[in-house]
Amino acid sequence: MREDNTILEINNLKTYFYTDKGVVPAVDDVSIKVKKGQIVGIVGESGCGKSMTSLSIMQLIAPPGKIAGGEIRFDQKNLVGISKQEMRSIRGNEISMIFQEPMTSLNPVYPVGKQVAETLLLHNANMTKAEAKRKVIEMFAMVGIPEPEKRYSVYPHQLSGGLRQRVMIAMALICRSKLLIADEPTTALDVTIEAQILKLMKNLQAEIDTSIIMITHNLGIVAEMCDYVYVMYAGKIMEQADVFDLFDNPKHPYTEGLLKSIPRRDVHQNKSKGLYSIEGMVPNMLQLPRGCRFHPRCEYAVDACREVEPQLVDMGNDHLVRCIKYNQ
Amino acid sequence: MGAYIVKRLLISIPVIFGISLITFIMLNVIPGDPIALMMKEHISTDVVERVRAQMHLDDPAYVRFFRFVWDALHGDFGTSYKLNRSVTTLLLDAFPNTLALAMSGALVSWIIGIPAGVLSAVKKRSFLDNSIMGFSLLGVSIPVFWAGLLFQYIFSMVLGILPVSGFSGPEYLIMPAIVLGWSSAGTIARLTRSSLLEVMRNDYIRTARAKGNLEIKVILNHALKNSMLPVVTVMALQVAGLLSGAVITESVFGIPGIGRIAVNAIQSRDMPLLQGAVMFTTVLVILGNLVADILYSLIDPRIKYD
Amino acid sequence: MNLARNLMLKKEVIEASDELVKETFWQDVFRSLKKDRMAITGGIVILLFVLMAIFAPWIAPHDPYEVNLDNQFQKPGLEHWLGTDMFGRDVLSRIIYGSQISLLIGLVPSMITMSIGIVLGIVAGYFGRRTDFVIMTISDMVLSFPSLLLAMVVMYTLGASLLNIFIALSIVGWAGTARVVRAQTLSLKNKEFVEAARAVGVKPYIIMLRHILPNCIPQLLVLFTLEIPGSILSEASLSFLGVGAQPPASSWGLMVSNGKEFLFNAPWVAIAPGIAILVIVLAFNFLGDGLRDALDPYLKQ
Repeated sequence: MREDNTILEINNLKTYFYTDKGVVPAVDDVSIKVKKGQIVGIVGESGCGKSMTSLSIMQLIAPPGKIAGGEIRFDQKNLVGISKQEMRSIRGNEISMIFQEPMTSLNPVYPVGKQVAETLLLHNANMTKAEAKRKVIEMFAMVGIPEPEKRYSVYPHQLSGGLRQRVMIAMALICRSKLLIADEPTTALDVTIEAQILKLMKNLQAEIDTSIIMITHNLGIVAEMCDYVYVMYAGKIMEQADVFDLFDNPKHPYTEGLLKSIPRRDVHQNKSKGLYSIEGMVPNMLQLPRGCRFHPRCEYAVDACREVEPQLVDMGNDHLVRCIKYNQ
Repeated sequence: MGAYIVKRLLISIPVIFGISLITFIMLNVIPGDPIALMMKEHISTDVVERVRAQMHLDDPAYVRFFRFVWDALHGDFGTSYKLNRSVTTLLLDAFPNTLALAMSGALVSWIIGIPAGVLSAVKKRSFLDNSIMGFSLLGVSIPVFWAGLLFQYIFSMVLGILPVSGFSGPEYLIMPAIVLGWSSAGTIARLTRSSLLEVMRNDYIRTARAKGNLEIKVILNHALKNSMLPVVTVMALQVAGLLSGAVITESVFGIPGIGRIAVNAIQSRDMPLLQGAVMFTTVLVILGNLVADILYSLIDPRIKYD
Repeated sequence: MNLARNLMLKKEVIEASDELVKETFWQDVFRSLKKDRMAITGGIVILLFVLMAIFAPWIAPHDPYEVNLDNQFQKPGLEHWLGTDMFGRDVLSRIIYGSQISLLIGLVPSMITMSIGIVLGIVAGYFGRRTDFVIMTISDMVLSFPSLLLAMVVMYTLGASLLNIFIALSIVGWAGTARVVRAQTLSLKNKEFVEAARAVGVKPYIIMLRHILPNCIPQLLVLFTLEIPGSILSEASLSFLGVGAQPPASSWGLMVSNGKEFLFNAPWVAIAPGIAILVIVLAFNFLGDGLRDALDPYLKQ
């Protein structure tokens, strides 16, 4: 039974890249659910398939990448295989996206206000330019851009990184999207600006009543923002749980490792040991290890981990984990 | 902007001065008596001596150079040996013809080159792309003078729809403009293609797609303007190329322009006329570069000239 | 002891910088080139022209200089495949001999141009400051001239001859190469291996020769291949305008020029040599293009 308040439901999504050297399973059998008004986090190291998941939702995977299977149900409608025209009417209108690099995500040769207004005009055929401009200026004020009227006609290079990201947020929310995908929205910003932007997003989320998928490698952001979390590793979901549950009771060794590597004030740290970090590197996606993808870096790995790929196991309370420890 | 233009013009002064020096050295200081060359052998020596004195050819080279610069600054490039008319007048008479030819040649190259490049980039690695790129290489490889003769043969001789040569109406411009624009069109098409493909990899293109734009609008509204930056740079260099091409095109099609003046001046060893033509053309190139720079700043708001 | 260490370091540094230009580089290039059908075709055509130039006396069916006024303007046929010109000379034989001039013009000025451009470019880029300013200002001036007009001025001064075409094209052509080499030198100058070499006191000219120049080879290779057709076209244009090769030489540009008077009665006299120019220039451009694609990873380094 699908619950009524589900806005996005991804089932067994497979996004593969067919390169000369072989097939890269960037997103491998991933299922994600987002409820209305919920902020869902997707966490993982870079290259784990987080961004590919979000681009798959937007249907913006470029060749040689392709959605090889699964479904993406948005508002009851499967986006996989939908017509291009229909998808365009959803992009920027019902699902919108904020990218990692505010520096390069805005077109340098157009004024920022015009770029935001474009989204509005694209999805509202009857709107006049003057009306669009008024709405953009309103939105600029709402995302906390000072002197919004003046800022309407400046160029991206004349704005700071924080302001540019606010412009991106304004652009994403101008059509009151039902779902906002934020792909590392603060990674390129200073820590102080980061806090402001996150606060802004949280406020806007409540005000506009949108759902957010927050893609990040930063568990601090997850703790602050998210209701529910997916932990991804090498294209697969390793663990998923309510945010409190995950932080209090991590089940997967990878999640445990990620949590341990957050610098914390409240826990006394052994200075000589320094900050904890997970040994090794993300595997080469062309030559994934047999068995569990994480086993080469796992301190608890046993022989079975090298042989069998574990399944996601429901631990109750909407907490699922993919580890051999819980498979028996 | 005004200040920038003034500054650029000021920087041009030493370049123009240097070029006049190089030209002057090559045409004057290197041995070879213009009078003897001009008048052949059946002139008595005292006539030669008189003409030499009249033309101040007995003065030291540096005096002659500064006299040349001084006169040039006053718009006087001397008198043609052969035609016995003011070089300045001859050049100014010819200039509109060369300008018309160069402008229409440039126009042809953009009208063909830019759309062809865009098409090629959009249909990357298709049969169409390969054909366009093949054609553009053909355009670059074709000798301009030969293309001119071929056109004359086909359109004037075989089909009889266009005048062979001369310059007494707009229809006389059609063949020369196409022949002249053809080779630059190839360069522009290739550059537009590679530049557009480069721009298409930018993050803001992804943003434009994420807004729900049609792919064609993503290309035309968001990518094309950015991709024109290197193309404009090349357009500046194109000015020199077009004027070189104009020398040939004017000879082939008998257009009375600066290029033909230069060729005639060489053939009749008319030094002041050649010197004037070279200086005139160089100044045109420098002005062309300035226009391209201004165009550049109009496209890219990040560039501020002040 | 310190000295010994320094010497060791010096040796290491020098060897490290040679890594970029190992045999694998050429293997790489040839592997990519082999896949490019246009480049292969270009290469084969060039080879055929080279053979034609070398073996011209044996291949040519007639004497290219033999004037026979009874035999004027023969249409292309069995006896004269490409017809005869206004002096009754065999057009095909003249084209075959013309390949000698064209290839010579293609190679010699390009090599001179490259040498001048390389030296001035590296020196300007490496020493910077005033040296750079002077060299670059002169190259700006040269680039401001419409190249054909500049070449014409040189030919006017020196007189029309094959040797003078070499000189004219070299004077015109070096500035472009110098710019490319200078840009490359500037980007290499601050790389670790160059700084390391400088730090241990390697002499500037050795640094330029052993560390900077080898890393410019990909760019230079492409530039050289594209310079050749440029020179060929320039010579043809100069000869066409009457300030290049002089009669009775069988330069293709001159042949087109001579034939233009008779375009409407005997079009083959002007058209045929033009096709020869087109084919050889196209072949070099295809090869240069393929080379550029093959070297792409090295050019972007």
